[in-house]
Amino acid sequence: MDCARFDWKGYALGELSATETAGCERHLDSCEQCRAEVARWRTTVASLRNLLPDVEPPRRIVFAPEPVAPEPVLTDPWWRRLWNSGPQLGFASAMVLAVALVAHGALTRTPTAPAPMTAAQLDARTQARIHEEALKEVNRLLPQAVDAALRDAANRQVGEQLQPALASFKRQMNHEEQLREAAAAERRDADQKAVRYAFERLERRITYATLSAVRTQGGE
Amino acid sequence: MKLREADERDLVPRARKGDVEAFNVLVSRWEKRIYNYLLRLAPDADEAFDLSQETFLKAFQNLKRLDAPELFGPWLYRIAHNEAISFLRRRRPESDPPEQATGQPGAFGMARVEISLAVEQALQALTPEQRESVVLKVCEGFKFEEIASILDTPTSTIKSRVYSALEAMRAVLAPAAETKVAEE
Repeated sequence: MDCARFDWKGYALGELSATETAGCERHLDSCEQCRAEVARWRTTVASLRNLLPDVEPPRRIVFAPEPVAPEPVLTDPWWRRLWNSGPQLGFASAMVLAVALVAHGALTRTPTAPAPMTAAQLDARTQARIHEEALKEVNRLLPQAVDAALRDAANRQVGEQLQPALASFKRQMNHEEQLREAAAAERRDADQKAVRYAFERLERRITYATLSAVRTQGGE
Repeated sequence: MKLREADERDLVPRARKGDVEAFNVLVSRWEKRIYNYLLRLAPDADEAFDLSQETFLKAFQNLKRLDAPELFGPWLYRIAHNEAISFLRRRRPESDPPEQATGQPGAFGMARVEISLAVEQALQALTPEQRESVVLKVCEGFKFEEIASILDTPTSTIKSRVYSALEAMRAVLAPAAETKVAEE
């Protein structure tokens, strides 16, 4: 009997189709050796399963629902809210009182005719008014003019003081730049000399090594 | 129908629409299995639990990508597998790829399980891929095709991994198995 054609591992793992399983079982009825083989695979699978028992997680995993927006509350009409609002009601009362006072003043005031003025009085009054207006204008413009003049003077003075310092600074910068360039040129020269010297030493060594080799060969 | 009794075909679409309660029911159904699966891949229980939380969070965020609600389980395992693999790569960036990193001490949750030294050694001698395939097959009860889908690996490779792992285990368990067979 061809026992090797049966997939006993697949059978023990429950991976075979119904047809394959039925074929296996028919064969098992008549083959003691394959029954023992299946029993070994089942024991192996069961042992593995027992080796790895399921454990409970240390705590439950729970997702919090999204916070729900509060439902809209029914609101009072504006006049009721105003009526119920202490500061607003106080303000409204004050406004009503102010309007009443102004109206009372306007209604109860008696019209009065202006007193006649002489020409001299009129002229003096006009002169006084002109003087007063001119003084106001002077008071308004003078501080601005003084400020502007002071600012110009200060700027000129600072400019005059800074000009020599700026020129000196530029001269110093140019000088330092020249010094840096000179130092860089010196370093370049030194590097070139070092490289030339290294090459010369290398050439001498090569020449010496060549001569030594020639002498050694000649001696042999 | 009560939420607790609802089928996954109903729960998944509801969770997909943002129903957190429906998703919590799904979590309660799968958290123990996912945690135990990760426990066998992660170095310790704390990491396994963290990875479980990450797995469910990713699942909730990506639920819209799941086309077939009836495949929620294998899809969840696939997320858990990817989480475990990226965790292990982050943890040992300088080491070899997983297929060569065998015999890591403490892997497979051995400290918790009272087993013989020989069996433990045999388990540790399996490659991580063999162990994961065996866990998904023997402990989680998935079919080879489902495991292939979870691990994104050909079915023939999965079958080969599980069979070779079983043969290795049987070599270790042979004396016990022989005794049991003899008793039967």
